[in-house]
Amino acid sequence: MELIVEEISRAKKLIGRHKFVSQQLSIGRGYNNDIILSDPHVCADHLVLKAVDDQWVIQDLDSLNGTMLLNENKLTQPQLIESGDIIQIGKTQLRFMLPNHPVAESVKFSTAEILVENIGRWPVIITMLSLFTALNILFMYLNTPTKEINYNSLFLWGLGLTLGYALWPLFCSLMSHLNKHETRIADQLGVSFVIINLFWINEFIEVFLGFNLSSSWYWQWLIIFLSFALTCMMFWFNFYIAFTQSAKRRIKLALGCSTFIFASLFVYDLSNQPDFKGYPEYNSTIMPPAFAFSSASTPEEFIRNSDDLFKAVDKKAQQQKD
Amino acid sequence: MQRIAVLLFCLLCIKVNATEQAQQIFEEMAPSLYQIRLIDIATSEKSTIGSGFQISENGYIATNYHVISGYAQYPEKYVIEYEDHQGNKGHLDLQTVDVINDLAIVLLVENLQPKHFIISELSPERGEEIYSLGNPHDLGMIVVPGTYNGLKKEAFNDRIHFTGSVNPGMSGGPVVNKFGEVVGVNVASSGNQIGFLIPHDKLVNLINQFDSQVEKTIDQQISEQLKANQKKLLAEVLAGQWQTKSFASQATIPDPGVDYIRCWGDSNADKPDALMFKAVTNCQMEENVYISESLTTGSIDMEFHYFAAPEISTVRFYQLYKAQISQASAGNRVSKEEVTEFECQHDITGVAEQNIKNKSIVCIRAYKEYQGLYDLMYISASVDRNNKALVSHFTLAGVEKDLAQQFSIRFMESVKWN
Repeated sequence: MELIVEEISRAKKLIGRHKFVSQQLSIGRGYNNDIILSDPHVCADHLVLKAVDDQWVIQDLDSLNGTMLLNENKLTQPQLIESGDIIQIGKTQLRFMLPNHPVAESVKFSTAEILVENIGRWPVIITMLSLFTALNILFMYLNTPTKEINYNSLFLWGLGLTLGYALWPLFCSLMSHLNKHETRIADQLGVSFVIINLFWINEFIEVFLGFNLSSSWYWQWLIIFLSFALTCMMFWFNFYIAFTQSAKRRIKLALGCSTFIFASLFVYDLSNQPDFKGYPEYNSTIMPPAFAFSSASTPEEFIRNSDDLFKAVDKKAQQQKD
Repeated sequence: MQRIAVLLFCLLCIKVNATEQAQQIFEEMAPSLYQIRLIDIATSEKSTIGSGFQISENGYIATNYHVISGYAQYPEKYVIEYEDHQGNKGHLDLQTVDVINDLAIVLLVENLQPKHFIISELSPERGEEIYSLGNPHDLGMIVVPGTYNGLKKEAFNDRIHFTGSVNPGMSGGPVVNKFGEVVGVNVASSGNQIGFLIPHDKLVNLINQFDSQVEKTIDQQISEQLKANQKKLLAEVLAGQWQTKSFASQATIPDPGVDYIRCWGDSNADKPDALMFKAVTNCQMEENVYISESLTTGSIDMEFHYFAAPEISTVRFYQLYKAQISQASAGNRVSKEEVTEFECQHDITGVAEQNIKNKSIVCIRAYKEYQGLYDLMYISASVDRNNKALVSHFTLAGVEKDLAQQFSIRFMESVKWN
């Protein structure tokens, strides 16, 4: 008769799985057993399983620490086993399965899985890392206000920044390793840097809108929303690759982590506000003429719009005086 | 040789004569000269000192507003005290102020004495010997002879240019002619024997308006004076058609054509290895209205920058240019108690017939106590040329909305490329 014995951890994670075809199965520390355990709390001849009338019966052989059917009392007499039963002997847990035990339906490769697989290829990863490094070096170069440029330090700086950003996907891999999952470093790196590079696009949109739209447009919310969405996406993929959890739980976790980060930034920003700002805070974004798409308003129109500013400061002055 | 001796002797005569006259005036007028002090109530120590002089039999004393400004702003923190030539001390009551001309009138409540200064009816002649009285650095009353050199050129509010030492502590002291009549009030010094005085007619005006002024609170008086002053200033600035002048031979910028807005220029043409050529013209009024240690207002300043870098890419030029316009601020001194924070707006602006397109930003803050007055800051950066740029900026401090808007439109319309 067939019996499948699984060795599992206390967190019910599978450690080893064996299939036996026989009428009797002995378990213990002694080398004469069919299943040999090294747990010191297990006796040399601890227990025996016997096939009786197409059913398996378990019997403790008067062991020192006994045999526990999970969550029940010690076995005192032979007992029938049902498929999926877990026993504890010493500190070891074993699960018994019968060949006809039902299994979950097979899972189709999800689009996310296919995407991650594709992004996790080394050509993609190297492209993404190079793009990130190159853009950083480019902006550093553009912002250097001197004729002489130390390209060496520029390059090292760009590389260092990329390494710094790579710490996050590596940290995710480490976490999954510590949780006894596959590390999938390539997948983590690929996905993280694709999303990090998407932030460049977000930044471009911010600068473009800030330059072309007047202050009467409240487009900043769009940028905050996009940044939040990208952050969420990043966490979602990191969790997807690193751990197995239900879809609902993954979304909850990703949302929670992003909210935490944005809230922390917001609180940090608030706590760093000076008591009084004697200087104006304005949007000074400008772009080269090629990016200027909006039509110009006349000085009269522009200054007429300032009526609202006068009203706003009047209101503030009134409130603060009261 | 003989001639020189005679000359020297004559000079000596004049000198002796002048000193004697100064001595005489000083002795005669000493009883109506006072040291004015602000006493901090919490510590009973002096926090500001200045001078003052009696202008009527019934104990009215004139001094500088800035000497007693602490009390005018925080009457619960200070008391105004005097000390006369015999060392007697007592309290003074603040009656009226003129912040534009830095004058104040306080009232002697006790120890009344009738002796007082007479205010001259005529202005001195250029070159006339006049005598400044006051108590510099708390060292005791002194008299400083000096010369009247007419009114300061390039000033919006009249000031007498006095050649002679006016030192801190002498503020508020009278300046008299050889007949002992007041022709001015000490107010400021720019070191090296250059002093500034308030002309006597400003004090006469304040005395003439005294009855109507004392009815109002000090804050009301200040508010009205600030409003009248900015109205006069901007009316004058906006009166004529503005001239334009060439800037860095690439652009034209406004020239309001009033001599009290003076321009200074600089560029980095002396640094051949600079990546960007930069030129700056800075035009400002060299005077403002002092309200308190933490608030000055009533001034106009403008600034123009030209940037060019034909050798670098447009993208890099704009990246560097962007950093130049992010830090603009208003020029006057303020604190949280007096004004709100700025509110700003921005847009792309331009005039169809003018060949310039700008990113323009305007920021406004309101005065809390002096309702209806604002500080307006404007900065505009050209965004239509690939490798050159023009930045124009101005600040109006303590102006009303309509005048500020008129000025802004006029300014915006007169900045363009050649």
